[in-house]
Amino acid sequence: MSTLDEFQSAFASDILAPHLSTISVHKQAAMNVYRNTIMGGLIDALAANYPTVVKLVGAEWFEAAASEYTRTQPPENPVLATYGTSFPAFLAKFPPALDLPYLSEVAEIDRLWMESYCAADAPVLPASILQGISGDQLMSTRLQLHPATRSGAFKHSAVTIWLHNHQDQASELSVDGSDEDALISRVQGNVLVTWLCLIEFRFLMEVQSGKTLGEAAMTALSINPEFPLAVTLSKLISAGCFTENAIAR
Amino acid sequence: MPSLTAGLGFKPEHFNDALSCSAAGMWYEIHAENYMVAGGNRIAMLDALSDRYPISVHGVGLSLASADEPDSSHLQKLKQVVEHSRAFIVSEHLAWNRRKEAHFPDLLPFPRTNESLDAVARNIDIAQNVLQRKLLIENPSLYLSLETHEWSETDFLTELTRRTGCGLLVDINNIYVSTHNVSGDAFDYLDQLPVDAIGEIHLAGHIREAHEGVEILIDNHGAPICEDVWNLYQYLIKRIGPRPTLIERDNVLPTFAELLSERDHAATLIMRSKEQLHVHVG
Repeated sequence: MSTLDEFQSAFASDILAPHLSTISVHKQAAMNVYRNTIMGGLIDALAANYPTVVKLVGAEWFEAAASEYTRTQPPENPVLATYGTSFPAFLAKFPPALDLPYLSEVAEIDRLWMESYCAADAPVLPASILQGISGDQLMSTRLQLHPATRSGAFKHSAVTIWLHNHQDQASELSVDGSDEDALISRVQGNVLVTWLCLIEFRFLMEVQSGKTLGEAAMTALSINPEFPLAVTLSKLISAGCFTENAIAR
Repeated sequence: MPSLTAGLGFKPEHFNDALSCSAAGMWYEIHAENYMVAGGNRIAMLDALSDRYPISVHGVGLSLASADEPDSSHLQKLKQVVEHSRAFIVSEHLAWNRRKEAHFPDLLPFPRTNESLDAVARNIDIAQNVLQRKLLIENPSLYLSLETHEWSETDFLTELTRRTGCGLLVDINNIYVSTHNVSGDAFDYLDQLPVDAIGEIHLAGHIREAHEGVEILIDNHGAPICEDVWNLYQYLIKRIGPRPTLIERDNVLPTFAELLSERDHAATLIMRSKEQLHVHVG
C-alpha cells in the first residue's frame, strides 16, 4: 500500500468512526470540521431525498436515524440524487421506528418520487389518442409505461399518509392501516402521486407486463365485473402514465 | 463569445430570475453531479439556461487526489454533462473524496508528496484524455496541518500545470481560509501562482467557528464575501488581468438580487482592471 493510500485509508476510518481517536487538539478540531461537513452533507442529502419522512418524524429524530444510516452506508458515488436507496429498508429494521410501521412504506414512496423526478424524458401519450380509435383497435393496443412512471403496493395506509403530508392540511388524519396502491408519474416535470384502487393497480400491472388493453381489461373484469375501463384508462393517461413511443397495435 | 466578466453559481431556487438576467458578460456555473440524472426538471432547467448563457461545469466528485484512478463511469457522466451544457470551462479540485466504495461529500486534504504529485498528475491526465479538453484545478480550503508535505501548495499546482497542461481555478476565499487555518500569507500565495495558467477565479464567504477552543474559518459558501477577500481579489486581477470570476453561494441562500449585487461588484472590478490594463499597454 502506498503512503497516499495509507493516509486516505486512515482518514476515511476516522471520518466514519462513531468517535474520534485521541489526537492533538488542533488535529481534533480540524477533523471535526471534516466530519461535520461530511455528515451534515450526507444527512442533508438524505433529507432532500426523503422529505415526507422528515415531515413525519421531525428534524431531530430524522437526524439521529440518518446519522446512523450514513455512517454505515455512505454513498457509493457522488450523485446525491440517488443516495439512500436502501434507507426505506433501513427504517423498517431501525429499532426506534418499530412503533411507526408506516414510516419505511412512506419512505419508499419518497424514493419512487425521486426516481420518477430524475428519470429519462420521453413524449407522454396524450389523452387525444383515445379519440377516433375504434373499440377493436383500442382492445388490441399495447401501451408502454413512460420512463418516469412507477407504481407500488404499500401497507399501513402509507399512500393516504404520504398524500396528506403533501397537501399541507392542518386537519387530523385518521387511517385504518390498510393496504393501498399508488401510481407515481410525471407531467411536465412535476411528479404526481395518485391513489389507485386495487382493481386499477391490477389493470396497470397487466398493461405493464405487455398485455393488450383487452387482455388487461379481461383480468380486471374477472376480479370486478363492474371494472370501468374508460374511466381507468383516462385516469392513467391524464397522469402521464404512458409514453407515445412504441405503441404497438 | 462576448467578453465574460462575473458569473453566479446556479441555484434552481433562482431559476426564473437567473433566466431573465440581462447583465452584460453574465454566465453561470453548475455543479456537475447535480445534473448526472437521466432527465426531468433538472435537465430541463440546464437546457433552458445553457441556451441563453455560457455554462461553466464545476465537478466535485472526481477525487483527483485519490491514490486510485478516477472512477471511469463517473468520468463518462462528467463528459456527458460537459457536452450537454456546451461548457466553456470545466473545473475540478485538488482534493479527494472517494475511498474504495465510499464517497464523502467534501474536498479532503492529503500530504503533498512526490508520490501524490505523480498520482494527481496521472489522474488529471486520465480525466483530460477522456474529456478531450483542459481541466482547471481548484485549490482547496484546508483545515488540517500535515507535517508530511514535501511541496508547497502553489509549487504543487504549478508543477501539475507543467506536467499535465491543466489550468488553475483560483479560489480566493479558500486561500484566505487555508492560510488562516494552516499557515502562510494569502498575498504571498497569490504572488507564487503561475499567471498564464489561471483560467477562472472563485469568490465566496466563510464563517468563523470555535472547535475545541481553536478558531477555525469554515468555507461554508453561506455568507457574503468579506472585505479581505475582495482586497485579495483586486490585488490578484491587478497583477494578472481580468479572468471569469464566480460568486459562489450554496447555503443560507439570499435573494437573487443580493447575489447579483455581489456579482456586479466583481464585474465592475474586472472592467476597471481591463481599463488599467489598456492604460499599461497604451
